[in-house]
Amino acid sequence: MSYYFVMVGHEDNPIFELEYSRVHHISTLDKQSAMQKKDDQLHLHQFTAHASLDIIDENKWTSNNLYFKSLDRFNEYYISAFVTPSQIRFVMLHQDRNDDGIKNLFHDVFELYTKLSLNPFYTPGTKINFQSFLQRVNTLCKKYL
Amino acid sequence: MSQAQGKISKLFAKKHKSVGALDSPIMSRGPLGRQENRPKVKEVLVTYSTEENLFRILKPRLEAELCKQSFVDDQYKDGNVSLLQCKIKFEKFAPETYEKFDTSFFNHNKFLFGTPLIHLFFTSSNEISWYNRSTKNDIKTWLMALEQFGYDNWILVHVTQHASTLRKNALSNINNVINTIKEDIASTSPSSAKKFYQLTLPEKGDQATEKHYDGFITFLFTTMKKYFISQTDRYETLLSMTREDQDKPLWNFFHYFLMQEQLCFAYEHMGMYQAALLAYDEIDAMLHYLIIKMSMNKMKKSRWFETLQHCCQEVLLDYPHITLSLDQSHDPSLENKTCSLFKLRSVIFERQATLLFILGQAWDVGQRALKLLKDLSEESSSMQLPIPTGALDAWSYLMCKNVLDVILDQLSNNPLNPLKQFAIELTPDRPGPDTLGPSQWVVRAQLWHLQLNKLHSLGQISGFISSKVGTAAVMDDYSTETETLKELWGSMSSNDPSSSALDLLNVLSSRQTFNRAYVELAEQLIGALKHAGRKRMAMHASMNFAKFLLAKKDLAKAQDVLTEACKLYYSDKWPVLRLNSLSLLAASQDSKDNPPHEYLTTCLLLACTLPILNSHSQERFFHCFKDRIDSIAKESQQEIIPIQFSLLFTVNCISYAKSEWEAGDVITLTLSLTNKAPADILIDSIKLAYQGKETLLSPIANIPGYWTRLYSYTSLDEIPKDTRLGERSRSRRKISKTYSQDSSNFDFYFTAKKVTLVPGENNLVLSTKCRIAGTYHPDDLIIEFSSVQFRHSTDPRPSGSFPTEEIEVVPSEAKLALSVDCPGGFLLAGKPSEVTLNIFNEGKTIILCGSTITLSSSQLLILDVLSGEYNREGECYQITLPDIKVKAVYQVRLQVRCDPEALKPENILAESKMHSSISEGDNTMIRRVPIDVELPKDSLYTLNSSPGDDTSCGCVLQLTATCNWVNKKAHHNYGAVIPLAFYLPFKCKYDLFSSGDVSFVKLTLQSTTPLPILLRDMKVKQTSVLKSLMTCDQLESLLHPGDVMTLLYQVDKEFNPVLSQICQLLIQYSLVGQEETILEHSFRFKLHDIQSMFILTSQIELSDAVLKKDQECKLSINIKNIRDLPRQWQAPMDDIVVVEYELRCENGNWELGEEIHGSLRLQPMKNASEDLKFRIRPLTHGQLPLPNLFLTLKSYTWNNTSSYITAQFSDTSSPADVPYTMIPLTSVQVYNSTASMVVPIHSDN
Repeated sequence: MSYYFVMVGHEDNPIFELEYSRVHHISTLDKQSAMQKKDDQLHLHQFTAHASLDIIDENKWTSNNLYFKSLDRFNEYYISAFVTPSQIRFVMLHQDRNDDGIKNLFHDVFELYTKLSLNPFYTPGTKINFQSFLQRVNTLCKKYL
Repeated sequence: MSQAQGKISKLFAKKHKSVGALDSPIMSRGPLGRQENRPKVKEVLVTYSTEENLFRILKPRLEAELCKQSFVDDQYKDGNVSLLQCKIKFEKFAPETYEKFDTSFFNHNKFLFGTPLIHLFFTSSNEISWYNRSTKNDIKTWLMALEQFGYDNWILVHVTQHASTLRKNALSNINNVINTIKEDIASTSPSSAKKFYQLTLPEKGDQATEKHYDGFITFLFTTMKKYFISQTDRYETLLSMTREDQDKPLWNFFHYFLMQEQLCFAYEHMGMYQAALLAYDEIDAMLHYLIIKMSMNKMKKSRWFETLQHCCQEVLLDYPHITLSLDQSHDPSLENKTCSLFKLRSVIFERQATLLFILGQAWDVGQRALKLLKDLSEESSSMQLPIPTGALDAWSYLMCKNVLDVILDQLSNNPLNPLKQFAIELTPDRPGPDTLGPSQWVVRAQLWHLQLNKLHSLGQISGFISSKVGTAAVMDDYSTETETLKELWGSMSSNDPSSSALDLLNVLSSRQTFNRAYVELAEQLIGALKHAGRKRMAMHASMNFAKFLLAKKDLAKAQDVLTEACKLYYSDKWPVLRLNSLSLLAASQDSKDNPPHEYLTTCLLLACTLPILNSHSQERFFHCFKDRIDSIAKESQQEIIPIQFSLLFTVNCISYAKSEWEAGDVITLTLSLTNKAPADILIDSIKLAYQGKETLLSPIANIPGYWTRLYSYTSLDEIPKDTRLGERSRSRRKISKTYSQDSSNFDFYFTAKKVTLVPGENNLVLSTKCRIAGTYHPDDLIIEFSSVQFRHSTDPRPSGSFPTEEIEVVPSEAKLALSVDCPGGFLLAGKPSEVTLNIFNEGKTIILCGSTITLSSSQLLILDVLSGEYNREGECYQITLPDIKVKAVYQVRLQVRCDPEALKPENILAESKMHSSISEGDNTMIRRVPIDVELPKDSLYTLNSSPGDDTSCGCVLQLTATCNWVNKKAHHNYGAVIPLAFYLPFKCKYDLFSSGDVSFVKLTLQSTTPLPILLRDMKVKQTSVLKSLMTCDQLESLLHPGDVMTLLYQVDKEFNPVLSQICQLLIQYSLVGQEETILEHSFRFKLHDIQSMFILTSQIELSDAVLKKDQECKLSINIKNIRDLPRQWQAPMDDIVVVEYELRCENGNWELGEEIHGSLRLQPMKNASEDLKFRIRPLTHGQLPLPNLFLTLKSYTWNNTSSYITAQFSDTSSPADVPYTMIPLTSVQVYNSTASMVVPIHSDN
């Protein structure tokens, strides 16, 4: 089972991406290694995640919930989303319906992001290049997915 | 027809026999026609027991008003319960015709409507005696009959006349009867008392009795509803019991479905459509649940499951056709429990769709269709149904199409659609087609999306689309499965020409129809998504559409789609997606029909602007870019393609060596430039142009021809030594400063050529000269290589931000320049000419009134001042200047004339550059020309003849000006040495020819002036020596610039060959347009050594008949005196002429022997001769010229006291002591008679 997690900023730009597999995981921040192996897969994931922003944007105004489980489906991937109060969108592409795990992951990543926003060295809305953040999200993925 | 096809056709025919075919593509498949597509009015059975006369009075009003009753029962599934769709059928109570309530009647479709909904008993007894005697027993019998059959849905009604029609005491009797009835009923059951109702017949105008009667109707309806609800509850209990038995082997889903559907039908008749829909949803969910569970072997497979599995061959016959009907009949296959999964699904979906349309939720049909297709796909795959390839795709395609057609038909304003009219009656405020919201558009788009995906799959199966994007498959790739599919569709369409399957078959009949349908569907989908506000989803579909267009080579449309995608992904900052779309865009633009700049731009975007691309891909795209521009350059060398500057380069900064420059200084700057390409770029040229804000144009520019002179006055010597490329850049060639004539748009610019820019930052050090003071800012940067041009100013602002560092060029010192005012703009030697001395105040120097300039000329230059205030002191003129303001010019007119003495040979500068024999003074004069003096003409260079030409064409004299203001740079008074070039009118030369004993002189005149010359007279003074062979020297003739005139003279045979004679050619001429001024030019030349003294005759002495290569032979050369040799050539003592000889072979064709030079003693008298013999050997074969013999005369020194020669030797002096000189004899003096002779040499073979 593979997962693709992306955090989308206010300008609809990806600010953090992670491809996670239960077997192995590859960070897209490590461009040199990831680009060579999974260019095509990353492209398809981004393609799907980007298209799903429409439906996320529609639903976020019609619901008080932060978490939208299995909001849409593209081929074999379900799309779940989490919209923070500051309108940062977390999008998860997943093949199995692990709703509880994904929900918990979203909440914990939201907590991480909230802490990151307090970091004076990080400008909100820009790409997250902190190695510690990546490691923590990886840990959460191992825990919940 | 194949066996399989025949079977399929048979099945298809069977199916249509059962359902029939109607006209409408939507409604035609239904078992009912359009006129039947309105729900049938169901009869609700109500029994009565009373006197016929009484019931005849009550019946009309009861029938009319009972069916109008409806109200919302919130406690029961939000159902709006009504009897609007019912017709009350009153029957006389006959208990023997009714069945007992048990489970069996469910099988006979008699649930609810098979039994009376309520039983009524009406009585109008007014007397207690009558009641006890008759009515009481009737009631008792009636109640007992009801109890016997288990019915408790009864009402006992006592009907009373209106009070106004009753007699006195009648009311008290009636009350007694009513009380008695109540007591009697209550005795049977306490709750039965509530089932008694006393009805007073209404009277016209009496509202109280009217209300009373309405209350009765309501009471009646409520009682009926209660009974209905209790019945459904009991039925649902029965259903739940049946449902719980689903694990049992004999349990059959079809049976359960039919039971559940009965409930749904009942709900529909009571107007509870929402409840009916929920019931169908429950069936739907249960079916999916059971199939998945049994497929995964989590539940034991029942027989009905195996039936579904085995009936799957008819999948294509069960293609979806939404039948909107409230008809409650079933398909025979469903009744027989031999229905396929697809058929069962279709039936359920049709029922759901019908209810949704009635409820005004047309677009929910679309959502449910999507869910159905998803579930069906999952079910068929989990059941591993052996359905033909593509059948499910075709089924889904047809389903989507059908659903969408039905939805749009229902939303249209079609008055002939009875179901719609019926639905409007139920829900008048339902939305119309014009009120489609975004969500409806989304549903529509989702259906189209699914339809498009299925069409794509069918296209792949049919071979119209390759599974690999970018390559077009061919029709020959049809597989066996595809052929089967085609046959199947063919049989379907032949049986049912109006079906949707026919449309699909037409779509898949050829590549053209498929492409047309695909494009149409894709465009509809993209448009719908955009309309719904889902632009990203639209782009998702667009990308797939673009891949399709690329495969079918529709590049123009693909470009449009991909360009839009690139813009969106760029604005949304998704680099990987943008990269992908750009890659596809590049593929679509890689065509010769496409404008090349688009492809080049895309390649550069991929190679330079996307950091996420790995380096290998970047280099690949950059090579694509380079290959294309190189091919364009080869095909069309004139074509320059402009490309956005910022795609490949970024200007970081411009830094100057200093902040302020003086006009005329060499300005040096460092341009920091980033090359974004992943590889080195060898650029042809880079130009950095500057534009002046407030250009202080020098007044010198007003002088005609000034700029021309400025630009042409360039030299590579002015390149600063520190002009070099930056630290990281590599230069294959030094930067040279050049000026261009096309600089009209800019004030000045820096340029460099053939520079290699490495990836990353490059620092270029550029230099140029700016001669005009002002404030300049960088305005444009142009880089060109191969066939492309990157121009910064054409980039859209503000993306291409440009450094704004300005250059401040301050005015320079005052300057002097001389302009020639003569016609033709040149000075002619010997002719007085007017020139103007211009004093420019550039601004830095303050020239006050009273300042002076002292002019002095060289010795041969005659100067005169024609204007202004001046004092003459000897040959110097001191000119007093007025106050010359900044940017002003003061002019002084002068007259100059070249002294005729300047034309003497020692003043002629013709050889100044070529030979070292020029006088030292002349060389000095040239070197002293200062660099900051504006030359009045390109005189220093144009005066020189071509290399090797030893004739003269002019001279340069100098005018020295000394000012009384100080040059701050040089720390001395400002001054200038101004060279004045005087042209000679002609370039003359002479040549000497000899033909043994006769010699000729050829004089050549070439006009060197820019104006034509009119020759008036030409004479050679020494006519005794030279005799003209031509007669034209006496005639006037016109000599145009560059024209040559030749004069030929014969030398007198008696002329002493030893003597030298200075000859002079006098030419009288005038310039055209100034014929009144006759000028004179003389050309002096010296005649010496003009006669031949010896004649050589060479001969080969052969031993064989022929001479072969490498064969030695003898060369015999005879030397003979033509005339008596001069006395001074003879040796002092023995009167012998000594000649040194040397044999030379300059072409290397001959190998010479050992003795090739020596001394020869000749008798001085005429016809004396000597022979010389040499051993030579030819080194090659062919026609070879003979080696040459060169003679050198030993000339002794004699005292030359007069015009003749006298020897002064003493007797004691030895001849060896007499000094001598060696004089090489010229080719004129030694006439070689066999010079043109060649010797045939044969090869060795």
